[in-house]
Amino acid sequence: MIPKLESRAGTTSVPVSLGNGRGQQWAGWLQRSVLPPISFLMIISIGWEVMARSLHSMLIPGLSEIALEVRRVAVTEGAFVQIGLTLERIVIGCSLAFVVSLVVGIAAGRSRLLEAFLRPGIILGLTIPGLVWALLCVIWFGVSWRSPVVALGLGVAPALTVNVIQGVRAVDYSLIEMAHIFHIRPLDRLFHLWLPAMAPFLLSGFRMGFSLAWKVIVLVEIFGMSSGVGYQLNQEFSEQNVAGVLAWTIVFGAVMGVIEYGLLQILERRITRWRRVATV
Amino acid sequence: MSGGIIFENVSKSFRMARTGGVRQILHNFSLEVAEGELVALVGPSGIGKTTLLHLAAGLDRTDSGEVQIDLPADRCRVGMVFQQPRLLEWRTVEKNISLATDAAQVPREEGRSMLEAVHLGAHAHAFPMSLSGGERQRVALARAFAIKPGIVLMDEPFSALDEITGRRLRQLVQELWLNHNPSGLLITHNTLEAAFLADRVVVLSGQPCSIRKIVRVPVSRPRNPDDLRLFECHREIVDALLSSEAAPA
Repeated sequence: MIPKLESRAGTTSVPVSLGNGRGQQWAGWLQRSVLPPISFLMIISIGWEVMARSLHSMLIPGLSEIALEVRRVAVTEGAFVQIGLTLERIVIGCSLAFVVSLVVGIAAGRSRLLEAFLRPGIILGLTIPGLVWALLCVIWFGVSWRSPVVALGLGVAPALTVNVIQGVRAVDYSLIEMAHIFHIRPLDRLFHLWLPAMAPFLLSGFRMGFSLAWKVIVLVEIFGMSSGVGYQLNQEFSEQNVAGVLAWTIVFGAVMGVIEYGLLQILERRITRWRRVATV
Repeated sequence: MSGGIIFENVSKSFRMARTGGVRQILHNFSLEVAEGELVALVGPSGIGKTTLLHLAAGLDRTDSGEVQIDLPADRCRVGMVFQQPRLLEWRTVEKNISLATDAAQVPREEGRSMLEAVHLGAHAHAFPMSLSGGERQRVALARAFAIKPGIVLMDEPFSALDEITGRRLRQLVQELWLNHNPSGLLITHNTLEAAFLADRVVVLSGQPCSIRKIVRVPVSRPRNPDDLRLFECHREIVDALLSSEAAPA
């Protein structure tokens, strides 16, 4: 029973907080973080099924057919090996892009002259489609691990560099002055001042880079690799198996979703945990 | 007088971003802060007090003249307390201090004992955001004194705090000064604060900035904030400020 409280004015009020705190937290989390994406996916699925049934086309398979293909892909021997290979290439390429972007971005963020010098290259890099890098790298490096890694580096680095430059510009100058006065060591400045201060920009850049990477790697694997998700997609395409193409896309999308929700968001929460302490 | 901080014929001017003109802030400015002495700089806003502090901290360079830290090598470290605490919000209180002590090659225990000295030992593992404004400024004080500084520079350190918190922190600074005895410069607009904390109060005026008057505070530490002699000094400082305002530019 909810206890009633007598207020000074003689009116009756009830406590705002009901039930246990942890239960409410879970309910809030479900409502905010789980229901919206699930609702979105459900609406898309229903829309797709309606379209498939109304068109009766081999090119638009129904949900049940796609589900069977997903099952086939998931249980096929080596399916996760293919996904693992693609992920490995993404991680190596993105890491390369991240390191290069960090060094170049910090330098350009601190020097207007260097930024002006690099600007044409960055704009060019942002406008060149991933397809061009994929083709060029396959021509240059052939069927080797260098093709996807370099293509990813070139495709992702410009967008990441822009984020790093913005992050550098957003660092509070008064903290840099403080570090100068206290003679904080260069590596300590990098790891304890610059990188944490830039963390929101780095994380959003990494997210964007990761989604770009997926688009580039598929192209490289289609054109110049004999393994990976892109290669499998190409195989399904050559057999005109639309459900197979969608199934590989869904399975890999699910893996990327796990990385986004299971890894990047946990990382983000850990990096920004200081923001969630009570402010006095 | 043996020097802690020596400004010798210092000149400094700035280019005005809006007009493109040059504004001379300091012209052949000289001042000595003795070892163990705390000198307060008071004067109107924009006169050049912060410029003097930045020159002493090595954040800026003189156009001509010299700023020297005339102390033994092991006492040359500079600690600074700013108007805002300038803490790294993503590091705990203890880790904010250890960053400075590590750089100064001072044992981390100094940081911990300094946190105890400013009565924040229990908050060592808290993030700065969870602290009040006064507590955050106490962390900044602990950081400045934990590096065993020969010089402590303070730029309006209590101006953003309420009166009671400011009064407590002034007492704390007095205790720290008694225990560590660094040389220092204090910028403040609070003339009572200047009289309470400083050994000498330098009243600045004019453009470029010059010394209008030096008021010596003849009260030994520890001082009582209600000591009438401090009020006399305060009146003297205010009179000097008022007369500099009335004087033709």
